[in-house]
Amino acid sequence: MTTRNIATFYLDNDLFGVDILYVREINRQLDLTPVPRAPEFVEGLLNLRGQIVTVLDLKKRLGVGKTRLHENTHNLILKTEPELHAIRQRENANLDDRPLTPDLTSLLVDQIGDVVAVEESAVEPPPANLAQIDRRYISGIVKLEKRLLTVLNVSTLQHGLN
Amino acid sequence: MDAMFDENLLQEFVTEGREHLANIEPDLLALETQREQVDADMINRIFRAIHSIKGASGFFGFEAVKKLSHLMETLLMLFRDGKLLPSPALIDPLLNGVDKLSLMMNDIQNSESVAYAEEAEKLEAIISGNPPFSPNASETSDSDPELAASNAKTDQEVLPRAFEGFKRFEHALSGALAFPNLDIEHIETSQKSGQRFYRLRLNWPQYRGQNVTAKELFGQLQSVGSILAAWTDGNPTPINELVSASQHAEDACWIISSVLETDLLCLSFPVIKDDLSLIEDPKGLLNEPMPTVTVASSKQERCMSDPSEDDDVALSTDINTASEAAVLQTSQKITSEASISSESKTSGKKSALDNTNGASANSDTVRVRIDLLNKLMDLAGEMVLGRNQLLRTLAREKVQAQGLAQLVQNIDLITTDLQEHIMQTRMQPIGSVFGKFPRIVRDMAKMLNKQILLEMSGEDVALDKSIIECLSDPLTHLIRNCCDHALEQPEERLAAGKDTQGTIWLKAYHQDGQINIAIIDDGRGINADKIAAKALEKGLITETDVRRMSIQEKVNLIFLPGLSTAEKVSEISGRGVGMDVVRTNIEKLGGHISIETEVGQGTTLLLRLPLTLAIIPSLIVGVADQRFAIPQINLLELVRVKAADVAEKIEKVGNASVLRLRGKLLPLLRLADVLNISRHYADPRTGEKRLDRRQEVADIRVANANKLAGGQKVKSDRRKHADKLWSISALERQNRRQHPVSDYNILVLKVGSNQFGLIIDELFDPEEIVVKPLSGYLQDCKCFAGSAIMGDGHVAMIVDAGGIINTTGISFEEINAQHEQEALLARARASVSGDRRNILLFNVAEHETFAFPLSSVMRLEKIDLRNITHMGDQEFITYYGQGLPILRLDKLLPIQPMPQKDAHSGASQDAFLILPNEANGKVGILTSRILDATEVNINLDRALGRYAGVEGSAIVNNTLTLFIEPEGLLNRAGVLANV
Repeated sequence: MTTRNIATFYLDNDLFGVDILYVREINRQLDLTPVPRAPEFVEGLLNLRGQIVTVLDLKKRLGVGKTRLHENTHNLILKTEPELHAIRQRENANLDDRPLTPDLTSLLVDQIGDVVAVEESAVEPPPANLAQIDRRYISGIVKLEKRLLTVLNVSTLQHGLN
Repeated sequence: MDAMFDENLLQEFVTEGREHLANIEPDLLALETQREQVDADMINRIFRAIHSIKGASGFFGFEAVKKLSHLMETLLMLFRDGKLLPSPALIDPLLNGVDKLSLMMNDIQNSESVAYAEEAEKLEAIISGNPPFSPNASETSDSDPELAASNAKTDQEVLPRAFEGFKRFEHALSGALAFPNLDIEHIETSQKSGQRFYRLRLNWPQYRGQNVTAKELFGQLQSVGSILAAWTDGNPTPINELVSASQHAEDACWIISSVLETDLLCLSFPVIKDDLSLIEDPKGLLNEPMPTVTVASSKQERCMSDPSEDDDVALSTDINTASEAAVLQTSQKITSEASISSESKTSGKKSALDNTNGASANSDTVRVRIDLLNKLMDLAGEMVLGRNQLLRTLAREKVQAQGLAQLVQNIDLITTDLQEHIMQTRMQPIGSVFGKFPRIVRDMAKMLNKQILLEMSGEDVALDKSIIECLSDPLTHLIRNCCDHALEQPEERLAAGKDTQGTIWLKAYHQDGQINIAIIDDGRGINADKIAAKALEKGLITETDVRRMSIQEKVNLIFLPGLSTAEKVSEISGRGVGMDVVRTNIEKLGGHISIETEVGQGTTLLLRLPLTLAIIPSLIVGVADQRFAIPQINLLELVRVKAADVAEKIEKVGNASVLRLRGKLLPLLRLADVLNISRHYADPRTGEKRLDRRQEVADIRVANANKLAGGQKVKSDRRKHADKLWSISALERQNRRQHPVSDYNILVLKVGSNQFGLIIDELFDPEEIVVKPLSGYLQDCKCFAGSAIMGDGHVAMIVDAGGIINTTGISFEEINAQHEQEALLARARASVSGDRRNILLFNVAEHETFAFPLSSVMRLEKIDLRNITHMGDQEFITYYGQGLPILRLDKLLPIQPMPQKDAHSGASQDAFLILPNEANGKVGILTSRILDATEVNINLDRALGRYAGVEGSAIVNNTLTLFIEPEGLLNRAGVLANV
């Protein structure tokens, strides 16, 4: 039985997560530079110790409203494909096949949750009647004791539906 | 040997091969000019380079490379031995061979598919044309017995020492062999296939200390070469027993053959470099090593009898000494070779370039991966940011601690130093590009039957690697152009009274933090009218354009796409693509190209390039509350249009707003509009930012504002206060939009030949920024060239002027059409004989306008009339500590005098002095007002010319204007006589 560690977070009151293998770092640095004429879901650019991170408004990307910055808003900064390379070779199972972008990307989330260990088998495919979010953004659903955890497909989040 | 290793080795081979080839070329060219005084070092250098390529290619099994290099080597050998003298006819095939080898090296895996039969044939013809060779030598195959035989024969004739060794070997055959398992045939065949022979001394305890076992060493050696003979602890050892015999051995000597050079061989298995020595004369091995064995074994015995540790060390040194003594012959040769290479290093020019010549020469450089360097650059950038933040924080918090200031200062200095040096690691001398031009010029001169001398300087000027790479093509193009078009045939030059040999100077030098590259020729120059005619013929410009253009503008037409002036398209240039591509490429690099030419005298092309692409100087500007970086390279000038002048200076052409700037129409854009940022204006009264609803730049709505002003009387107190703050006139008060805060800041940007104005809200400081590419999400944002982290740690977007033009689709045609129309109108007004003049318009008395030739104006000075002093009839004003005589026009010409102002009012009375060139600035002509400096096309009415000092009159801007003729005027005033 393989176990996946999911870094969870909230968008409004809903619980989402991504495989922790994708996560490079989480911070609260929200001094963003907006990019005029950029796609709508790009919230801005961030200086992460000399490297430029493109910050995406995750809510806009998923089509569930827009993020308003507040004191609990966090950047969930994803690894780049080169950084992921070694991990892919080490643990070939759990990651999406599609490569990530080589650009540093951050997802804006409303609040950071725990890291949850789930059995691979407990991750179910997304239900057909999922209302708001396109199924392609979702890698699976996990039924936790009290609530549902939606595990997101990082690769689709980055590359979009097309 | 695993696959990875193989790949690394191959990579090494290709890199070294390319370096060798790059070094060979200049040497060959130099050789060609030497003729009788052949530089033996040079030939040796070329020979060695070709030889090592041949050797390694044989090892890797690249037959084509091996065969071609073998033929080249053979020819070089003839040079070396003085059998042939290098002449252009003989150097040619060698150069062609170098080209083919380079081609093969560039794609080594497909090197077999490169056709080289022609080159090989030529080489063979030369080689076989030489007496010592049998006619059969025209076979290319190395393994061909006949060629091999002829080679062996050559060896005997041209290498007396080897021949001697061979005789000794024959002699040795009759006696006992020192290396019983060394096979003469093996040596001979190995030698012919480019194998080298090495003596490897092994001090086993030392190797075991590094966990190197005999088995491992044996296995690895077998994969890169073969072990021909060995002795262990003084006894000859059969190869198949070598591993077991070495297990408890103390020392050993192995004779190895391999195609690899010493350096490569050391890389391929864990052996200490000093333990490995090249055997120059392998055949000599057969009768000389006996004493080695005896000496070594005697030491061995001594060591065994007294096995103290000290002696252990002595043993290894002794053995080395012994072996050195024993292989005296060998080492002498090695020494002589080493001295050759060191000599060539000191005597050779371009020491920066040929550091890979001799075996020992490249020890002070290492190859580093570019991505590692980039990472270092990034880190250094971060370090600088970190330092800046630290400094700011310390200053803000007013932190006090003993010695802190010094520490911080130290870190400050080190960081700056670190960044500078890391920047330098990416720098390469431009010589690496220049290096290929002697060859190109030589080839072209031959082909075109011209005599061309290329003089280069500044090869050591360093530029960023990425710029160097992109510079190669444009420079090659320019040099080719120079040879083909600019320089004349010898007869033509002779007829023009020039030396038959044309010269091209290629210079690189630093200036103002940029690199300049000048390509200067003494050729025929560019005929501006010819260019213009060609452009006209191709429909690239119109006839009206031609008439309007200055000579420089016509010359610059050469950069238009699709223009080629070559009467016939040649093999080399003149296909109509070229200068425009060159310019585009240079501008892509953030550089600039300009051209200066004088017919009959020559042309100078000047390229200005930034030192590096990574850091660009830029101006930080603000729109709303966002900041953007504008690369200085696009920035021509900053213009501030006063709010009060907006209506006058900004007009509309078609849908576009345009600024009239010195008679030219400049399309205007608002950066805020381009970027879809909601516009704001700062309320002059409160400083508060509000949404700006104006649609058009020129939209002022004065009338409307006036109406409003009537209804705002209640607020007059506040307004008075604001007026005091800004000290604006009553007229300006009427309209918020005429307030200084509402002035337009316009950046005049240049993209290619197009210019436009960009309105921004605020100007900040210039800053050197590090360009970071845009992420994939932002690839569609064509307005930006990248992003950058500014000194305060914030990210700013870098505006791409070209992108803005494309995004907004400014139509320059419309503007140009307007231009043309105006020019037509101007011409229509002037008669056919109307001529163009640059004039300065001024008043003395109001309503009387005068024009002064702009070219005669040295300076304009603003003075206060109250400061004029009198001395007799003459008036003076103090100007730079000297009395400057003042000339009043009304005293010389029948015109209205300057109105006297009330001398007692106390208010300053401004006036302007024109200091004419003709008087060398020693006299000032008094005017009351300077109106404009402009270019007019007029037909002068010379009826008024009866007054000395007046050229005539004409209507300028609907006003009758008197044209002053400075020289006559000054003569009349008696000024010139005194100057």
